[in-house]
Formats: sequence, structure tokens, C-alpha cells
Amino acid sequence: METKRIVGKGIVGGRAEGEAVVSTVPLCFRTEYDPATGEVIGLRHPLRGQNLRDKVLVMPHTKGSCGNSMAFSTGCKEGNGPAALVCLRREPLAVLSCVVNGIPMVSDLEGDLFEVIDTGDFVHVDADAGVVTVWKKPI
Amino acid sequence: MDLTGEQRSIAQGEAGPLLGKYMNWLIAWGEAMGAKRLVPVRSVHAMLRTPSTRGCSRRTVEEYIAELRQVCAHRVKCLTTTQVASAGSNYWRESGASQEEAAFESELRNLARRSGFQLTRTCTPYLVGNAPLKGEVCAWTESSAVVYANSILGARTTRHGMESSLAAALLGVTPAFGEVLDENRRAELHIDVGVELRSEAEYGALGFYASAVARSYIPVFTGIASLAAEDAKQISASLPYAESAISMFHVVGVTPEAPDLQTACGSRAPRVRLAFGARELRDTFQAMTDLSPGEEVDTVILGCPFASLWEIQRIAEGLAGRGIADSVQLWVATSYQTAMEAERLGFAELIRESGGRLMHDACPGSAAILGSRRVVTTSFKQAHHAQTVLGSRTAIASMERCLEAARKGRWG
Repeated sequence: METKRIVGKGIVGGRAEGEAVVSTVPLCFRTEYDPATGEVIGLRHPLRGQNLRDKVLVMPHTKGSCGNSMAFSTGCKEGNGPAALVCLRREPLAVLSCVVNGIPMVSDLEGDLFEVIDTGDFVHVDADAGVVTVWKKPI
Repeated sequence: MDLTGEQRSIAQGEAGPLLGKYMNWLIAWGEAMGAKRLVPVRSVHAMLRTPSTRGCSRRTVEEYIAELRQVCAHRVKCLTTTQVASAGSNYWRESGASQEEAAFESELRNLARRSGFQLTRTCTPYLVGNAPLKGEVCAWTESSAVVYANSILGARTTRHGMESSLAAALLGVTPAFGEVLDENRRAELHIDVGVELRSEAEYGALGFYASAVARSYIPVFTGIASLAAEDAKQISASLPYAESAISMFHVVGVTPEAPDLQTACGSRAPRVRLAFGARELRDTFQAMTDLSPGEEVDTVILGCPFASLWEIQRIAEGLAGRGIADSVQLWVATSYQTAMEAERLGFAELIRESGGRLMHDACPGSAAILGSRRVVTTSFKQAHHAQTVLGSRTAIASMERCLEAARKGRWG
């Protein structure tokens, strides 16, 4: 299986792995994610219907509401939080969400994230080292 | 991070487990964001509420309630107003709260009184007495209020969430990163406004356009001679919502840190220059408009962010003597403080007589219970929620056109 390795900045420490869910547009957890199920419910969001539970969420950053960390934390308490976050940049509420829930986060990666990771790939996030390893899903 | 002895001992748990946890959160958040120290705050806008736990387990609801009781066993360190909640409203059922949430809100009101939280329940704290001056470091939640504080008041706050705002309230400090620091308040995107903006909704369009193109850049606008507080409120509400989570803007000649373009940009050339003209204005409205001319409207939502007294006066006088269509629900959202003044001045009565409802403490737009399918509003943020959460068809327009839609029961 093809493997790729991307180097970035470890923002919130820890290691996790899981299947990638990739969005090229930002997500608002407060309005577009249901903590009770883990599902993206934003009616106009491209990830609509995808479940984020135990997934590695790959996106540019979070947007919108300052209620983002509240919704994220509720999802984590319910066991519906993502395994790790891989973002283009550090939006304060995404970082806060990861800090208070102990979710590893990596950002500021070298190269084009969206060229390397697709939904369904298996991803290992080492946020202590700032390294993301991607096992491409067989085509 | 460079911590004081006192901060270190609180982090080690010497002031109790809750403050220890909160201090560690602020330190870890700050370090992850590149902060070198924690700095004192004199103004907090906090998210003291139960989250939306619809469909969640008992354990999660009880965990939150236990934590909030624990928070209220401490004292706030400075002026702390509080964010909108679904409960506590005069229309709490319509705002989507459960009986249990409403009951806990009553308990919270008593707890908050003892701990010093002002249970203002508003997304516009700057209209009800939490109005820090230029240069003051604050810790505010509520995306639109953060933008307003940074841009219009010249105060300094990053985007705070529930956890960090409660921590800042009890500890009186915030990590110094983002807009707290001079170097992160400079504009990198110059947008020249070449069209006259004639309503609060058109200013909202400018903010929404900027959010779509800004990436992570703070925008500076030229071509705007003056700005009403209500216009600034709409730019502030739009800016975090299209594509970028932007928390500040400048208007040359108007906002406190933009006497001229050069100062707003920190004497560097902006990275990107764009023009916002009649076409961009029209396209921004069109992208968020689903309703066709003549199409039926079932809901009109005003007061997003929460209405000022002046907006309520304009709504009351605009409606006076002319009822709204039977098929339409007209909601005006505001704070308790503003609602009480509107009551005393007779505006609330005028709105009620016309069939409208003045809701305080909560937001009608977040409530799926309304069953709104066709929503007209002055706010791009509200339209975004209506589309995303309620699945409604929407249109955005000036206050006057919104009231006309409420009277006719039709758009356009």
C-alpha cells in the first residue's frame, strides 16, 4: 500500500490514528455538527452525512461560532469526537477544542494537504513530532 | 510560557481543582497558539450555560450542570457579562429550550448572582454596559462581539470559547496571542468600497464578501465615510461566517486604529487589494438569496445580533398601526435590559399590537421548533443559520424591506 508522510507543526500533543474525513472548506462545529451522533448535519456542507466519530478530520480550519469548542466538547463527552485534527492553520477555537479534550492536532503542514489526503485514507497523526502518515486507500 | 509564581501554584492545584484545571487549559491553549505569557483582563464575556445537549445522554447533561455549579462556587475576577442561552427567555419554548434547561437557568440565575457573573444573556454585551475602551485586553466569546470589540471599540480579544471564557472570568487572565498583540492587528487585505452602502444588510454583505476572500487576513476598508453602530454590528456578524474566522476589521478614517491606510496596515503594503462595487454587492446578496420575488414568507427574524434600542424603535415605528400578515411570525431578539427599556418607552407594545414578538435572552434563529421554511432577515449570519440548521429558504434585506415582507407575507 502506498504511504506518504507530511511534516507540520504539532499543536496539541498526542498520537492517534483513524480513517480520514477531508473537507476543503471550513466547518462550524456549533451549527454544522451534531454532538449527539457525531454526524455533520450542515445542510450545505460538503461533509453532510459523514460521521466524525474516531475519524481524523482534515480541513483548512474552523469557522463561525465561538460555540465551536462547546459543541466539540459535548461530542467528545458523548464519545462522538474525532480522533485527531489536521488543519492548515491554527484557529483559536479548534485549538481550544483539542486542548480541553486531549485530542491531538497538527497544522501548518508542508505541501498541499488536500493533494495528499483523501477521505477514506488511513492516517496516523503524531502531534508530538508534528508528523502525519497517510496510507492511501486502494483505488 | 513565562508564568508568575502565583500562576504556577494555581496550575499545580493550590487554589483547588477547578482553578487548577482552568489555569492549565489557558496555559496549554496559549502555548499551542504561541503565547509567551498570561495577561490580566478587566472585561470578560462568558459562555455560562448548558450546551445544546438534545439527544445526548443524561451523564453528559449532568456533567455540564455539575461543572457550572462548581464554576459558580467561585468569584469572577472582573466585569463578566454572559452569552445568550436558549433557556431563560420570555419565549423559552419557542427558543427550543427543554423544561429541564429552563429550570436550570432559574437556578443558574441565583448561582450567578453570588459568583458575580452578570446573567445579561446577550450577544451584544457592548450595548448593555460591557464596553471596554481602546487598548483594553479582554476575554470575549461570541464571534460577532469579538469582531466588534476589536474593530470598533479598539479593545483586544481573541475568539474565546465556553471553556476559556469561564477560565478567564475566574482567573482574571488570558493568554497573550492573536489580536491581543499589536503585530496581529494590522490589515493585510485592502478592500476599496466603491458603492454606497444604504442599509445595515448591505454592510453585512460587505462583511460576508470579505469573509469569503480574506483567508486569514484582517481586512481594511476604504471608501466608507462613516458607520452607524448597527452597520458595524452587521459587518462584525458576517465576518466570521463565510469562509474565514476573521476577528477584526478596520475602516480608514472611522475605526480607532485606522486613521489612514498606512497605519491600518502597520506601514506595510497590503498583500491583497480588491474592489467591492455594485456587482460584488449584488452577487453577495444573490448567493445567499433563495426566495423568488413574490414567494410566500413565513418568518421574519430581526435582532441578529441582538437589537439595539434604536433598532427596536425603528421596528416599532415602522410597524405602527399596520399589522403583519397572519401567515408570518415576526421575531425581534434583544437583551433583557433593552427589552425592558423598550417596554417602558412603549416600543414593545407597538410591536405586540402589530403581531410581532420581542424575545429577550434567547435567539429565535437557532430554534428548529419554529418550523420556518422561508425566512427573511437583515442578517447574513442569521440567514446562514437558517439555511444550514433549519434548511430554510432565505432572503436578506434592509429593516424596511423585512417589515414590508412581514406585512405582505411575501418576498420582494
